[in-house]
Amino acid sequence: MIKKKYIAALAFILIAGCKKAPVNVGPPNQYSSSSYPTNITQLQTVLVSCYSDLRDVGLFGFDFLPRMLGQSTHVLNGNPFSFTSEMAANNLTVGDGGAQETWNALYVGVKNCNVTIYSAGVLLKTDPSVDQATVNLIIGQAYCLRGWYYMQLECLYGEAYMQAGGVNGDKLGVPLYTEVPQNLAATQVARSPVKDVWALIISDEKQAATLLKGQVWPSTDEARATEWAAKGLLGKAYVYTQDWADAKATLIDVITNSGKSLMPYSTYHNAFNGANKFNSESLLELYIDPNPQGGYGIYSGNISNSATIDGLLWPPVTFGGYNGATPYDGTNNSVQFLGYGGNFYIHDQNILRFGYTLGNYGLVANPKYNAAVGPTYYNQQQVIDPVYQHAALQARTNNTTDPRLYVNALQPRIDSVQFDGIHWALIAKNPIPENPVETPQSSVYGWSLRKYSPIDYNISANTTVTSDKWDYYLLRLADVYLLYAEACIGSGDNINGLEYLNRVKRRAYSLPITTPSAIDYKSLTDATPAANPVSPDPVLGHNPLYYERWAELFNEGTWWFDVCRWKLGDSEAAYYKSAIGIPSPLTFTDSKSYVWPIPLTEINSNSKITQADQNPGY
Amino acid sequence: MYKKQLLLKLLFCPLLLLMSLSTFAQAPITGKVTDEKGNPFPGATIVLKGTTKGTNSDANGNYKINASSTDVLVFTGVGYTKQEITVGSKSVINIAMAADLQQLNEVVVVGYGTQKRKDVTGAISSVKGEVFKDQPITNPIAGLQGRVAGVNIIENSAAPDAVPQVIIRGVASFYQPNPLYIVDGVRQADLNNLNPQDIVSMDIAKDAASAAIYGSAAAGGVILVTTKKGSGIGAPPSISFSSRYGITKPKLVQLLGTSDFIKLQNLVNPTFFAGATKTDTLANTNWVDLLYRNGTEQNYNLSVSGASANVNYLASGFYNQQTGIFIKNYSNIGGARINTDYKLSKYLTIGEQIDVSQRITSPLVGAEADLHNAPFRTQPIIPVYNPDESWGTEPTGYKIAFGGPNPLGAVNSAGAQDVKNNFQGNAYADVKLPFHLDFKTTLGYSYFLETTDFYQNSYNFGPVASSTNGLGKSYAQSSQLLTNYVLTYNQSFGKHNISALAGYEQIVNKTNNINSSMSSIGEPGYSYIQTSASSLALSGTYDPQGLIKSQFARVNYNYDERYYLSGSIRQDANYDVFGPDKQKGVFPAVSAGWTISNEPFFKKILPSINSLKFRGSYGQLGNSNVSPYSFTSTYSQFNNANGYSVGAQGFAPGQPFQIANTLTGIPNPNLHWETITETDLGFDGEALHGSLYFTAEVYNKKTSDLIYQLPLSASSGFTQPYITNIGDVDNKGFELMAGYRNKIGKLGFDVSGNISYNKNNVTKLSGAATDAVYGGYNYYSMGNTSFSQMPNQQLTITKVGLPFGEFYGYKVLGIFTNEADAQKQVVNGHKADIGDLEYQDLNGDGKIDQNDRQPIGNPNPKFVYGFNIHLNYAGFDLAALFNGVAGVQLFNGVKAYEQSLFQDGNTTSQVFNDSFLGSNGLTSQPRLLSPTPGGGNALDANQNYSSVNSYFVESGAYLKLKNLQLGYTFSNNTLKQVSIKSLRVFVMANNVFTITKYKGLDPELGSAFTTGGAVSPTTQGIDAVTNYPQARIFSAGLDVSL
Repeated sequence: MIKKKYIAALAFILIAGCKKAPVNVGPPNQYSSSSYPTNITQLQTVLVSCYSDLRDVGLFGFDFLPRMLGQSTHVLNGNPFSFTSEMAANNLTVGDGGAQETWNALYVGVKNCNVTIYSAGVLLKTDPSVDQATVNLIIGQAYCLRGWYYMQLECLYGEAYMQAGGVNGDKLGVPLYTEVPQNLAATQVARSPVKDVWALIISDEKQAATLLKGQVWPSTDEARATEWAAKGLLGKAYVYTQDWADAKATLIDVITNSGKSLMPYSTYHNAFNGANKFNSESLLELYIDPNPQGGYGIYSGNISNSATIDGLLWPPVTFGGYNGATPYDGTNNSVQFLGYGGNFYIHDQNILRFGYTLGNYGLVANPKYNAAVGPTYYNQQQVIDPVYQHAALQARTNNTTDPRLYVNALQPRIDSVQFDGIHWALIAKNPIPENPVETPQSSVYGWSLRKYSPIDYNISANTTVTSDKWDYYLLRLADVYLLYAEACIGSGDNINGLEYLNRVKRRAYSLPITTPSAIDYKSLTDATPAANPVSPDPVLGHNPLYYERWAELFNEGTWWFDVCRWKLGDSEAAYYKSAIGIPSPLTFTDSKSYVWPIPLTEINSNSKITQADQNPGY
Repeated sequence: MYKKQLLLKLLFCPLLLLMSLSTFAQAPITGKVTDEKGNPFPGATIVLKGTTKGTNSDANGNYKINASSTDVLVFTGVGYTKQEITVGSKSVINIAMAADLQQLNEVVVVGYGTQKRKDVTGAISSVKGEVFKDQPITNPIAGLQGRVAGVNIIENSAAPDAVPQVIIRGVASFYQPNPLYIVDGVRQADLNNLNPQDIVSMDIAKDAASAAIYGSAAAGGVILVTTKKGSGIGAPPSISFSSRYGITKPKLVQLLGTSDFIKLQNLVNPTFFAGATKTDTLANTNWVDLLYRNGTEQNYNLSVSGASANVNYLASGFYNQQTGIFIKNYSNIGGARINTDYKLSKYLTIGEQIDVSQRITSPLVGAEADLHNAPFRTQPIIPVYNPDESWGTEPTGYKIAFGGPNPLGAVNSAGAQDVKNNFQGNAYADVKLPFHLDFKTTLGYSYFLETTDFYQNSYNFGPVASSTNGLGKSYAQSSQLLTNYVLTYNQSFGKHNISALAGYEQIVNKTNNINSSMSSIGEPGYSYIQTSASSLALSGTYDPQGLIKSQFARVNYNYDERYYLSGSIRQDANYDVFGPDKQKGVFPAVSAGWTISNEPFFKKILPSINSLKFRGSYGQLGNSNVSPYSFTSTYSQFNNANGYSVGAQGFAPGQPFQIANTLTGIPNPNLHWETITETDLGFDGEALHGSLYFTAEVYNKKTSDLIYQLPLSASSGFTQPYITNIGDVDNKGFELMAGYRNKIGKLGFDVSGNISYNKNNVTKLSGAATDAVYGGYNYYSMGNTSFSQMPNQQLTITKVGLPFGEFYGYKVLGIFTNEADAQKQVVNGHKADIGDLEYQDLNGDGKIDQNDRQPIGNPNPKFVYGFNIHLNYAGFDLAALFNGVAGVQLFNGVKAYEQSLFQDGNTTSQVFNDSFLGSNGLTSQPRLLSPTPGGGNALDANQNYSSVNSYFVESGAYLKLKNLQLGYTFSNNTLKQVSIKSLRVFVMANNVFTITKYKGLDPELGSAFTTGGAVSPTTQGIDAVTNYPQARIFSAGLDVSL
């Protein structure tokens, strides 16, 4: 009996036999590149990566605005760690981590767009019956975003902007990948001439506009690129390359036919902190969802969310908060950052440039102080000097300061935030190295950043909303107005140029947009708020075009390109004077600093780009 | 094993069967077999020479057999010399067996078979399980340390589930393979679950020729393990029990107490405690003592074995319990084994080995709870608890600020359990066929299931807090089904001896796993209770595609046991690892030997050398230790280089996120194994009747088609590297082993030593725009490159002309003693001063920056050696195991924390020896503080402690007394009363002492940041704060046989 069992077992061993050799295997938890995508839904997911890459840590996800453009344009001042100090000094090294991060992220975006275009082609081949119109919309979006990625790349790393008549067109632009590299050799690509890069950007946006023509996305897809986003970006490319005629034609098309309009100031004031998403002037917007799905902003490993976490780095600072159950004492000894403390706050010179001329506040004893309760943030022993407070509020009411200051910044001891999502408390002066303990009459303003900043919750880890709440505008109509104004001026049409500058300004002052007003610029050299007596700006003070682009698009990631196009590096350094942790006074190297270096990692991994192809000065 | 072979030969050799037909008048012969001490010898085999007639001695050593006066009785026993006695007129034949000193008759396990030691022509070393069975180890690999030349075993951690690292003949790949483990003929992923006390022997195939029969799996060498079998036909079952209990004492760094801490802060940050008067009321917390403790190790083993004429069996069980030296850390393993062989007929034998085990570990986990061998980011002034019983935070009223966690709170805010279940079973059938053929088929099945639960509670340590809890659970199973069919042929024609085999093998691997997590669960523990705030995440893979198909053959020939020739070949087809254009690889080997001692002239010239053999071999192996599917390019969820959550995107408020997929890389259909080509020359010998034994060999091992992760250009947009075959590495070396054993009066001794030399050199890394690979960080917390004493700086370089993982940084020429000289050195815009390190300005540009980095030390040891001493006197036995390395450098990253002040944390008393600290003048330690013009102090402006430089590179040479064991075996008479066959008690110490100039805690360092014994070739020899400390173990135990 037993023996039979063993013989049966032996027989089993013998017939357990050969497994058939598989022909082609791949990881079962991924899609095979030979058979994917098989339908429109799958192709749509490939397109999604073109958008989600915008939230990379090197783009809007974390570093690009706070630690790169915020530093290089001096929107911000603060913690000089790592590459932020190189950015603040406008003196990068070839190993600069920020320049590398952004380069990588932008090229991943380009690759994702190329993959989308490639896989659309695969789908069309394998299933000719697929809905061609939907495929066209997908390819159109990919072209629109590829154009955006290349425009950022060229503006940051290209050797020079192309100017009217093709000047600089033969200088070194960035390497161009118009399709997905299929082998090792195809990943080694030299820098293209500047003119070829711009030609591709223009061609991409034109194709996008054609493929997306007439498409109106439903409310479930509001963040998708449209014909008008593509045309707006096309117009921007024309302006950046001084092709005024094409720029004017393209931009007026957007202004006239897109159906978009400048939103009223009341909406505008609250369009950067989570409310009023996809408003009437939004042309292309990166949708951010405040729910990080249990992750920590973008720092969430494999969690799928739609989060960014810039606000962590530049949060407001408030007196409000508790140490355990004990309320803070209402002095700068105990303040709460609505994110990480000690990183960035708005650079003081910006307060002055917006035309704020009242200097700093003083403190007086709080007449309502209740000694029985003891000092708390809601029962402060000292309060702001009421005379100063009145004057500061009058400056707002009477618009003697550019109202956009209050869209962009929060004033200590006057503005308030909801530090815990419910309770309000006053903004405190930023406790920075120059101002560790509140010294009211000091020269330090220490305001908090308001645009793209958490003003009604604490973004840092010990709360449940560890993400930004607001969307990031990639293009909005006010920008298009200003680009159109610039194109008009560039082509000699100063009247229309001035009018479109004034339209943007009138909205900021809550005035009818198309009606001439008292605050209108009378000429292209008229005084701006930056001409104020406290800190007159010799450049922006009498250049409404420059000032409007600076003031209107403050902290939206575009000013750096204007500085570089208009060669304002020296005057900006002179105006901002200093940055924390950087040797004073600030300087700017014209022969180098307008262009970021090709990152060392690229030179090390791309045999077609050597040190000889590096940008000048690096 | 030996006996089984012998039995089979005797029982089935047809020639012998024929001869047994001739008969003579027979009479019963009786007698007693004893061992060399006079104790009864049960289970000895007694056969009539030239026949299959035989018997075994019983439990008392007695036997009875019918024989005629012309018969010759042959007495054999495993490990004992064969004795032959002619019956003659005797009717009682008592015999004392003598232990077989000559190792040359030992059986060596080789791929798909066995050979006698004297017939081996490759480089195979053997270690008997006997020698390490009582060492305090749970992984048999640890038992090899110090015992085998050319095999470098590194035990770099006292973690209770630590797996030692094994490097055989040098690091040879960026994908350094572990050895291939063959247990009773079946390959296994590791030996982590194998009871060391079940092992009879471990045979290590070191050269390519010995390993090539395993082809593309054998690049890391092959370790063939044989487990025990029942023996002693007719004897009652043999029962053995052993146990030991030990205390584990950690080696630790101590940090400053409160008064020294304040003293230091008054020098470094004078504002912190300026004007403070009541500092004597501050806490004085010793965080090291709170986080570490003495651990324990206990082990119990029970086995029952026996044999009858047709069956032999062994059943064993063991349990090992270890508490770690870090709080809450433990690992317990229990398991059982059954080995059985059945002789079903003269022609058919079947058998099986079954091994099951379960290991339960409480690992180190938790947010902010990373292990540090000293928690430098703590302050003694912070109490364990605040007065309100919350976790202690920075006392108020001082300017000092602390941004870190409460480490005790962090450890206690998380819990985890990890359960590893292991089943290994194999069954075989062996059929004797006509024409001297033998067919054997083996079916091996192994199953592994690991489950983990990790609960993270919410916590609040002041500056570090999380208000949500979370639970992660994972379930990972893997299985392997191996089938092989081997036909062997053994025949002698006169003095020509031939053995040959041919076989087919198929291995099917399957994996199935799931990872899940939920935040904000309702109740603490390891169960999911979903709440409204919960988020869920899931991932998992089922992959049944692992498949390797192989054919192999080998021929061994010798003439008169003097001239040996052997050749083997294997073809492997690996379907999920190699690219579709390169799925099949062929791996040949040849070897030859000359036993000169069997030549008549030799015996005349050198009779005292009883054996001497020269041998040489050449072979090729493959390394396929890369992840499956590395050759493919797929669409998968988009993840950027840093793994951040860009894998989805929303397109409008309230709408579900849409998943983002994209192409991940470029396919490489030509990806294939690395080829290792190795030649080996050696000789083995014994002299003075086997008392003196020695082996020596030299080898040259070359890895070609090195697999390398080529970074693609950033502008290609592909963040995953391109995995391709580009590069060569050489390892050259020699190995010596010699021993002497004898008995002088009652004192028996066996002393042996081994030493190996290896030189590692990367000879080619081509096709890459980047010609170097960088590795390693001086982490404070694992994975955080920026929060470190040397932030964002890599420690090693690997490139052509250098060995793997050479340390790379500034070369220190000395400490400046002269201001004028010092001022010429500029680091990061800062001029040096007296007391600063002088770095070599490699490019002479007056600045010290990353262009001045150079190779500053080699972490690959030139020499690895060990020696063993065994003494016995009357009932006492003493064993000492030494191991050591020489010609090696280590990077003492911990020193940077010990001699400076880390961030907002603490340091050691070494800091007070820094130059110009307090009232110090110039000392041997560089300065920490640089005066600034404003009258303040800049911290480490010259980057003495915050740059990678050769001040931290130290010699790592050491000699350790790894294990010292003293035992006493009670004499037989005492024990007879209680029917105990033998009883041995022992005491032992592990890691007894270390002789070294190295200033860190322990110079035995593995490669950083790898687990499971894997060797990361670019991060060897880094002493970082993240290393689990080493420990000493003091144990006592006993072995009993019934």
